[in-house]
Amino acid sequence: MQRKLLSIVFLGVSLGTGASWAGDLFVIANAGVTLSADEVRDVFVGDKQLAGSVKLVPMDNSAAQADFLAKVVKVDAAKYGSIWAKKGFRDGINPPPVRGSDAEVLSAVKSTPGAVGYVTKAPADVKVIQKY
Amino acid sequence: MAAFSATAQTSDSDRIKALEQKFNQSLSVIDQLQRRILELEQRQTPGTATPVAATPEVASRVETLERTVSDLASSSSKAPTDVGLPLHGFIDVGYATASGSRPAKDNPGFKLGTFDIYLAPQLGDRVKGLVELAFEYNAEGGLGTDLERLQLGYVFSDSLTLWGGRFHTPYGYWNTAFHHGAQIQTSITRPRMIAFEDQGGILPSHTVGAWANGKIDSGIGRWHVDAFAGNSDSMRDGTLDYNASGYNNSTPAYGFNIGLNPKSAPGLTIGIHGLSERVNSYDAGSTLNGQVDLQMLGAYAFFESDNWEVIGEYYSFSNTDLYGVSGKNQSSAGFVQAGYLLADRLTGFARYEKADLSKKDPYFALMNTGSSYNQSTIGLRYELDPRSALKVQYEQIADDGNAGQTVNWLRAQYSVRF
Repeated sequence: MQRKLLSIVFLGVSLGTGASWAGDLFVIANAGVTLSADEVRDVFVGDKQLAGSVKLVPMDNSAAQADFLAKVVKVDAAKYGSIWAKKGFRDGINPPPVRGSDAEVLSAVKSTPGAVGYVTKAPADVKVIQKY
Repeated sequence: MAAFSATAQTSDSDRIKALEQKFNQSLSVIDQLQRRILELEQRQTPGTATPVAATPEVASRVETLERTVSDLASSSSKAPTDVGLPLHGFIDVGYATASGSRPAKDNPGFKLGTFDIYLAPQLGDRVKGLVELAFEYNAEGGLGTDLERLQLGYVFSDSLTLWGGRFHTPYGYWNTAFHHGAQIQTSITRPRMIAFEDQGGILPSHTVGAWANGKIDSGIGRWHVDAFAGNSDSMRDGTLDYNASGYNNSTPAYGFNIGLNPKSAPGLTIGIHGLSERVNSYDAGSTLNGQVDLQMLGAYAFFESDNWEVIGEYYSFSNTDLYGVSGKNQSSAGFVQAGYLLADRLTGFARYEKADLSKKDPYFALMNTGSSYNQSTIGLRYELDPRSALKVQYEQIADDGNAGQTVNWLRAQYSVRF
């Protein structure tokens, strides 16, 4: 009984604090972006800066970053930081800005030309590149 | 920069004012709606549960409110994309002690390392810049300030970015990947052969000129291509000078670096590189005392996995003496370094480097640090957190320029990136 109670409390705290949620993940993009699922990783490690003539603007989502890094980039947060430290220093590219929630990412992706982001709930009115 | 900052501040201030106005308008509309709902609720007689249809006035106000909230959301979502100009950099401090017959100018003791800052402004969709400043003390204790990089670039595609300015010469892997970034390189020191020009390097680690680079995907993997042309270096009183204000002979410098990440070996990069330039040498009185056609060809490899980092670079020189009578001279230099994650946050590393430089070649003979040597290095690196590292390193150096005597160094370093 105590263990059940602890589990419920832990789950509640996890959800309440916005800890990473290993559920569905949707990579989304601004309407003007044409991108394949294979290219998403390259976009988020700075290896792909353009999609056709559109300058890509990747943005991280702190509410789902751990899940995204594990599923798509295949690294942990420390390694991701290290990749960007080296990439930024060598190639003069700044790391993606970090948004705080699905709502922020959705809003920014819709309104920013070239934007690519990821959210945890299926969005109805934005281009979905890939579901993970 | 100040004007840019002032303009940005004014723009932010205007935007905040506009948002405040919209917010106040929204509050006013919400307040009116609340009052209207209360009025409607009070008019309803008890027991009648029929929903009240929205009057045209309420519907209009709700529509206005929706539009305002939508505008607010849109405005606030645009604001964070303007992240300003992030400042990045590296700082390191350390300590070193030596045993054996060390050269007189290499003093042991506490060391201020390098304070390095860089900016990567995105000046447009395709236009970008890279500005790096480094502050460091030399062996005599004098503070040096160096405009490490000043680059303006245009991105034609992912396969081609063209840069102009002063950049890190793209040979091998180390020089462009780590350079002044003490925290991102595993060891404390760079291999001596690719040290900075004023610290004993035998190759120009910077070039002023034009640089094209890009990535090309193919069936066997991803190619990384660099090609550059720039000012030939001079040697002044035994130290390479990159000639920021133009080359002093009629021959520019050329170079290339072609690397491949094979699909069949994730984490591996293999490549070849080359450099050609005519180097005039001047003594302390600025009198020409040598002229050499420098020709370097070589290869390199880099491998990275969860636990391993291995770097190897090889340089072969075939230099031609244009001032004296020594003709063509062959030399070589290379190093291999391996790092292994021993435990959580703790990496052990070892490096061996060897330079076999012709004493007949005026390029090396006139250089203060152009002597043959070999060096073995072992060390440990501990990640205090993802942005700072504590390192210790032991080196054993046998240098022909130090009468072949062996010198041992024990170094410690605390390095941070931000």
